[in-house]
Amino acid sequence: MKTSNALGLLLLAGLSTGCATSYSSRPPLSFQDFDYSSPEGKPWPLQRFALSNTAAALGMTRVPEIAYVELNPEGQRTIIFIHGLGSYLKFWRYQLDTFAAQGYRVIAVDLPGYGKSDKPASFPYTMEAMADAVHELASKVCIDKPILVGHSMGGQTALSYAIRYPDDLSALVLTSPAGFEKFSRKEQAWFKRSFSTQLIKSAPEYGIWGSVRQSNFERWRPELEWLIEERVRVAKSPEFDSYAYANVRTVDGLAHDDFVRDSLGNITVNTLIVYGEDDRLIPNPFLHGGEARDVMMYGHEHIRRSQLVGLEGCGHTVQMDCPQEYNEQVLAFLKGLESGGSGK
Amino acid sequence: MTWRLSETEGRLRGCALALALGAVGLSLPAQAQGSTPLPGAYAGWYEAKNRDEDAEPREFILINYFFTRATATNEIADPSGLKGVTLGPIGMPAGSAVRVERGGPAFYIEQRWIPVIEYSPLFVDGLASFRAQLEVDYLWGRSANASQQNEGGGFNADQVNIQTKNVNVALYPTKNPNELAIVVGTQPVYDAYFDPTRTPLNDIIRTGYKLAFLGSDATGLSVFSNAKGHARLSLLPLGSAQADKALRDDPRLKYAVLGMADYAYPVAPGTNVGLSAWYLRDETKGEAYAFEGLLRSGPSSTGLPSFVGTSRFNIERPSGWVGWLGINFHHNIDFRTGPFGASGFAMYNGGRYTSTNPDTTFNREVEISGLSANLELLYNFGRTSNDLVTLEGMFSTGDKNLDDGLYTSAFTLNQYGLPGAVWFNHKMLLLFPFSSTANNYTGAVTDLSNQGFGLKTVLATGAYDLIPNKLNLRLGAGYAESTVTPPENTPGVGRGRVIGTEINAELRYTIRYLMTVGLHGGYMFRGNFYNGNPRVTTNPWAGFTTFTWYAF
Repeated sequence: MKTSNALGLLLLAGLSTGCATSYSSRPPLSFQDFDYSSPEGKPWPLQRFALSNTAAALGMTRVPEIAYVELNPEGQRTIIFIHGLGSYLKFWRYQLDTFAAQGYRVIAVDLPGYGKSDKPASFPYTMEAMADAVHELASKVCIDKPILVGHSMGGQTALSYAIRYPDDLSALVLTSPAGFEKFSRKEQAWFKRSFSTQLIKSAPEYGIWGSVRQSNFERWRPELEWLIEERVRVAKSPEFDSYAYANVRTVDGLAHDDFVRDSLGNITVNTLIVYGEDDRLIPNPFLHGGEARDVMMYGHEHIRRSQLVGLEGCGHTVQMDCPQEYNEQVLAFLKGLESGGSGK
Repeated sequence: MTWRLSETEGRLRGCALALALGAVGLSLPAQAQGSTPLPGAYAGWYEAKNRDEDAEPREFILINYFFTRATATNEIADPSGLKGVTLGPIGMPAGSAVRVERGGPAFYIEQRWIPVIEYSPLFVDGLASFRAQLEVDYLWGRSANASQQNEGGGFNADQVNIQTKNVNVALYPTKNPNELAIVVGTQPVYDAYFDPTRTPLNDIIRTGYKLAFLGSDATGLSVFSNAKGHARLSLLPLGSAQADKALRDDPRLKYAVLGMADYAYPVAPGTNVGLSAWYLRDETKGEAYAFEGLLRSGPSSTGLPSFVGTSRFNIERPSGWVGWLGINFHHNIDFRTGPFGASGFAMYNGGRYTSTNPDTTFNREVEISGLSANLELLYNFGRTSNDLVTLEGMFSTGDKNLDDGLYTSAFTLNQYGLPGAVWFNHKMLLLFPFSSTANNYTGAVTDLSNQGFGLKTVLATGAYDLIPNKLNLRLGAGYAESTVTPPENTPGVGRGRVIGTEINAELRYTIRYLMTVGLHGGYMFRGNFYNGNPRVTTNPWAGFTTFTWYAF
């Protein structure tokens, strides 16, 4: 075989192995059909909870329900996991069983608008409203003060909870949290103007690969491809409109004030801030650029009892990108809490 | 020079998607918002249907592109006719006549403004969009009150210095531009199959044939559809002339018309394989102009090759045809599915021009048969997609005897435009034309055919964000040679095939979103291709500063 032919065949072979699987031709998938299970395939028990108090406080006619998973109800200490923007409780797939096995009572929640929770158009989708939903759930199902573990937007939700209900939690684990980065009023206005349901609904499959894999992961593995498949297929479901709208409203909600950023000094609980050093989303790559470390340092400097841990070679969704290192850091922090220390 | 207009529009459209994707990591604070209780059945309807808080649709969009470049270089242009515009390969005696000489460098500052407007009245409900683009170029210290385009900027106001660009209407019969778009009017025309009015130029220059064959504007009709793969059909009259008015008292217009059919099959997300079949029919007998009154177009043009670096065919008053058959692919060029990306093409062009002068002393007929190919490999090694290394190769067959009746190199639309093809994904500054330019688009090789002698080139770059998404350093090196040995420039001084080796460096700082300043420097070790060329007596070098702002 000629060298040029061999090189051509090698190239074709390389490309074929490098091609991503397309899921666009597969049938639609409902949010309710998402497989909520451990990596080993063990189904998680799903429950629903009506946000009566939150709905009343917000003046909602209909009481929305949220979905949550609870493992090891006998655990002595409760951890509530809160997901980020655009995701759902399955993003804690590498944590829930692990932490339950360590003796913790584990609760993971689908925030309003996401996953298997209701997606009411009238919900405000601010971090404060999200925090109220988590707080109501915690008030009803927890017998102790929970430890809140939040990722990205879930981190900002947890921060809002911690600032406004300082006596109703025992610790915070902020995972690549939103809420530390400063956006000017004009930048916020630009986001609001530019982000639309049409933009979300029209994202091509290659774009979804970008927003999931490229933006969030440094250590992508084939076992994570369900992230792509579920996002691609659910986009063809009738309920995707309400999900897209919840995303738009959430970004709008994120963009309205600096309450969390200005109130970090009011946080009194032990806090672990853990993030990926190679975060591609924080700081915002379009508006600010720079290092995630600098943004996280702001939070660390303003939360008195905080620890800061950066994981090298890890991206924004650090709990899935680097689950082993992440779990080690968080479990060490939790052990420290139990020993009465600062969590170190 | 059209290609840079859609660059503005295209990049900004791409940014909108990027914005959506990037918003996953948006870290903004918030406060609770209250809602008003909804009565009875309205509450149910509201929860299911209401989308009042969505982003408002826009009917008028203005995109502004502003660019300023300060240049110091020993490439000294002496353009004839096209004042302020320097095109074509260095060392040519005519046309832009870019010399490379020892002595004091040329220093100049130039700037460009390109506004793009898009208007889609809300009452048409997504059925159509109108677009218009203009271009204004200034050379500092040069006035252009009455004539001479691409200059202006000197002492006196009221500059007359506006180039018309695209003016077109896009019709979307299904109200979904992805399904079907019909573009009528003066429009960007590229050799990639994507709809250039809706695709980031950054994608277009890295896909299809990378503007190596076609990258300009034309007036005509194009149809695009992404419903089943990516498809494009275009019919574009490129030139017209009253070719027989003088000899036969026939005032009718004769045309050079380009028809293009392209289809790409999406093999996987981000991976596409495309096929192209284009056909050019030229009945103008070489009488149509690429630059009215100055430069005739077509392969018999005596002046155009000096500006664009094509080969002149040894034929007069030719009519004929050229066909292209090509295959192209691109894979993961934005690294969304992994760290490896690639793109490339192979193109065959064939055809025949026949002289319509029965008494000609030149060739009665010239056959065309040429092959070109390109392959680019990319590896994203770091945190941002700016952290990458690239390796690219380009090849075109060469023609040993440009005077015989057989032309055996690439045939690009530079044969009909000024320029008509503007390959600028090469990342070189001197070996090939630097893309961030207002008035000077020169290089050692400005056409894929390399004046008909063919091209073999290898280009390598490495780039790294010193500060993620803020400060980027790129280093590059390139080598090029002709496929065949060119004839002597000076009798008795043999020429070789080595065109040169370039090393370059670029440092860009992002001030704000889509606003950058850059420092760029390149040096080229010229090869024996220039032996005996009295206009390239030393190695070319150039340094630029750039300020670029896309605003929308």
